[in-house]
Amino acid sequence: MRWIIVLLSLLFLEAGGRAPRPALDAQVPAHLETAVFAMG
Amino acid sequence: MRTEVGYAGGRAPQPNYGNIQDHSECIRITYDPSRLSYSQLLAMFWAGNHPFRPAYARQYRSAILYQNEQQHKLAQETKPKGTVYSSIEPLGTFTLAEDYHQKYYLRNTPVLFQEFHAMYPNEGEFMRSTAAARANGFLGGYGSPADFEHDLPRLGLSEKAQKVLRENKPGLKCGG
Repeated sequence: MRWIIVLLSLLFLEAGGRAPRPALDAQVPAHLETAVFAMG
Repeated sequence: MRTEVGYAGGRAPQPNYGNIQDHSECIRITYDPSRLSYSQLLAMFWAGNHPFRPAYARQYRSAILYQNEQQHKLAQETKPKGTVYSSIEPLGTFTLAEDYHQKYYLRNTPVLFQEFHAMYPNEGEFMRSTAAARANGFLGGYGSPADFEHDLPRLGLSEKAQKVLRENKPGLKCGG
């Protein structure tokens, strides 16, 4: 039981300590494609 | 959109910067096809590259590495007339470059890198961040003034970091 409390505390610390994500990263499209180039 | 740099175009296993072998330095762009098309990316490739100039080393050559027949067909159709040195070939394996090559301009601007690191302590998430890719592009001198003003408040940066980005952004290299 104790280890579960420790784990949950760490998870909340992690979430609380992290700066908020940028608005530009808020939405991830459902469908993405990739392209690869060698640009010289 | 996400950007990652890496090594591709060769057959040797496990290339790295110190031993790139027969591979070339590449960029992998992950994009939303409802907002950006492969044809638009090809147009940027042909305009921003040097298709008529031979590469001085395979590491730095110009190539389109297609992943399906549709990409292959579009690459061939948009290829400029004349002697083109850019290669059009199928993508084999893409190996991610070392962390210190990813978002290079951003990593070399400490105030900005520290703020992105606080948002993305995980290297993989940082690499996949659209905001990081945009900030890195602006630091490299890419993007229009309108793009910059639109994106700046959406990058998750403090006012101090926004000021640093504005001051460190060189003149435009292209309007894309």
